[in-house]
Amino acid sequence: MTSGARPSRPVLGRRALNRRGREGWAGWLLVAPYVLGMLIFVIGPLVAVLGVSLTQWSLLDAPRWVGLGNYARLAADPAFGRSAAVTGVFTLGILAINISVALALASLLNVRLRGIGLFRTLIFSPVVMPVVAWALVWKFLLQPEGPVNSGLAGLGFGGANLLFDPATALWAVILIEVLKAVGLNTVIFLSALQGVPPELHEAARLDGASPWQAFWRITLPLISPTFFLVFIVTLIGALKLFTPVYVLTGGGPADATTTLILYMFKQGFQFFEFGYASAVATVLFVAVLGLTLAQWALRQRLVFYED
Amino acid sequence: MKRLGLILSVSALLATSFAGAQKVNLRFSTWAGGDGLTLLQQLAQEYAAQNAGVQVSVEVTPFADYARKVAVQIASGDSPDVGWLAEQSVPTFLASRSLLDLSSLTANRAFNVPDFPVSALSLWKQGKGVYGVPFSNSPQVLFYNKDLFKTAAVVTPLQQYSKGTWDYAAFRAAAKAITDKTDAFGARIMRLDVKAWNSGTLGVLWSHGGNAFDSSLKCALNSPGSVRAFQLMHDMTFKDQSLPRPGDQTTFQGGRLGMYIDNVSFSAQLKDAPFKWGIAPLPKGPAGRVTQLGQAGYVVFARSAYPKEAQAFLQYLASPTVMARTAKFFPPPRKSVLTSRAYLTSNPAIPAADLKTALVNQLPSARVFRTGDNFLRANDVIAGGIERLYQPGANVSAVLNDLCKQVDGL
Repeated sequence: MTSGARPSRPVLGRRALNRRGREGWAGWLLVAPYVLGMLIFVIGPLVAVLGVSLTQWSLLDAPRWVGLGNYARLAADPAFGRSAAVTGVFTLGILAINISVALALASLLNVRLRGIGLFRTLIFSPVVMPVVAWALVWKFLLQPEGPVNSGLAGLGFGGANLLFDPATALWAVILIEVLKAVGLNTVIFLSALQGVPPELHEAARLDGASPWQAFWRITLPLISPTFFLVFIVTLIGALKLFTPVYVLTGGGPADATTTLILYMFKQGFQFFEFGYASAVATVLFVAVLGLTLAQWALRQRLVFYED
Repeated sequence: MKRLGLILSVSALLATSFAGAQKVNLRFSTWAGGDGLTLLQQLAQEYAAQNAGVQVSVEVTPFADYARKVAVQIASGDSPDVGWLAEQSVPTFLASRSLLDLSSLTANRAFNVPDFPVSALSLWKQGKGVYGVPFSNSPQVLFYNKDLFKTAAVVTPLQQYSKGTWDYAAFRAAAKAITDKTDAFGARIMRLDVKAWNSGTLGVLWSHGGNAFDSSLKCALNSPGSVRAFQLMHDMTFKDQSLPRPGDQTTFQGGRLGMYIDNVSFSAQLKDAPFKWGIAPLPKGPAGRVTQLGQAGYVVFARSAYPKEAQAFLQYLASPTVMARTAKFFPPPRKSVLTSRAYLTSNPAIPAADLKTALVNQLPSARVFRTGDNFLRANDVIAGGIERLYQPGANVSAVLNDLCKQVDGL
């Protein structure tokens, strides 16, 4: 029996190998469109940006190799430092306001009331609006003699020019972006809140916990996976945000709203310094990657109740 | 017989394919729109009809993206052959050797170079080469709303000019009167986009003895004359409130501006204006009456696949007969066309006498804005500085000193 089985084993093995080989090929064939697309349209440009960042290139002439020159220039460029500071304020502002408002709205919407669906729809509706239309409407509202500034003048803030005063422009842009995007985070938080078992709150109430305590000690830990997701998505979104800022202010007044992504756009498409712009892109890419990895590591400690 | 037929058909086939290979398709790049574009397309067709074997296709890119898009086309080996180029892009395109030297063309007798004023060609010359031929030589003029002047009971700029009293004090007084007596702003000097600050502002600076850059291309925005001019505009904006604040979108064609500085081609946008308007020379300042000369020219791109044919087409476009036709939209640099009766009466909305006073007679003192090849970067810094300048409590000379330090540090 064993002697009969022995010779057949290699044959079987070879067949299995062949089948596995064939399946392997078929598998590669099936994923090829995706892999090729990823290589050509995502990984390729990413590597190309890295390469271009080591050159000086105006598009009109041939690229000239400068090694790490662009990065040295970045480090010494005060405008880059200012833009990084603007990006910091912009990102932290959006994170703080967007997440706290979204959480508050989600808690308010998480009640059973007649017509609550209407409120949920209202809060979500800016999310589905085209971003350029949204920005243009706000640009109109925030004209120097427009309704918002005139209203502020009526309240005693004469001469207010929110979008064109370097002191207020960045915060105006932050608020407009939060108004646009907060609906999405609200809906995500709402679905997480609805997953919190009511009996836990009931037990806490019986034990004498205040609503505030219940929120901090029960609700927040239970929705921490969602909180984490919203945090990362909002952070990356804020760092990459281009369109509304470009439409509203174009980076002005006096560079008060020039975030790194606008700074990069300016270097490339206004000053024709594609090498330098690629260096900015690389720095931004590394920063986003680093922040995401750091959060991924923190997740172990901060996120509870995750499968 | 059969064989003969075969030979005939083969040679016919060869002949047609040979003719097909001979056919040159020139690509002409422009930012024109409206009736100006229609005229260019018509010229392209007429040229193709006169020159067998040449086709011209007109490609349009909006002005705001024009230089960038053409640069990308050139870089990707998809360069247009002939095209328009605006004055502020000339130094950049020259520095990167993207333009073809046309001196063999301009040396040609038939081209008649002396017909162009020396000042009109200076921007396009480098060394012994001539790298473009202007088709538009446009001094800025002052548009004014006759209805608003009437309501505010102010004597119009053209009348004040003929009396010799049209200076910046009169300009400020007129703007203030219109602001006080109507619901409109007295004037707008800059365009809507602060990046285009030089349009309008430069005329005011020059007339006050100021400048943006001095002869060695150093920042002169903090020179005494420039500070005086900016102080005037700042006072008009915040003390008199007769100039709109930054970011304000009020336009002249909307009827809520008393005066506005722009090129005469802006009149195309006033076709359906529900008010009466006129043009006048800019006011006179302590250093004279200086207006900005805007230029755009025809160029042949160095990477053109058909440089010879492209030059021939450019020669056609820049010829006196064709320039007389485009003059309807663009003030012609050729003196023979500019002073012709046909040109002065080409725009039905502007009386010939007014066009002569406000435009033709101002040409001798008009100036072209000279910039360095890092102007794009400098312009961005200056635009930011101007945004800081037009704030209610700004210290004009301090902001300008700081601005010049930044510009010269580039």
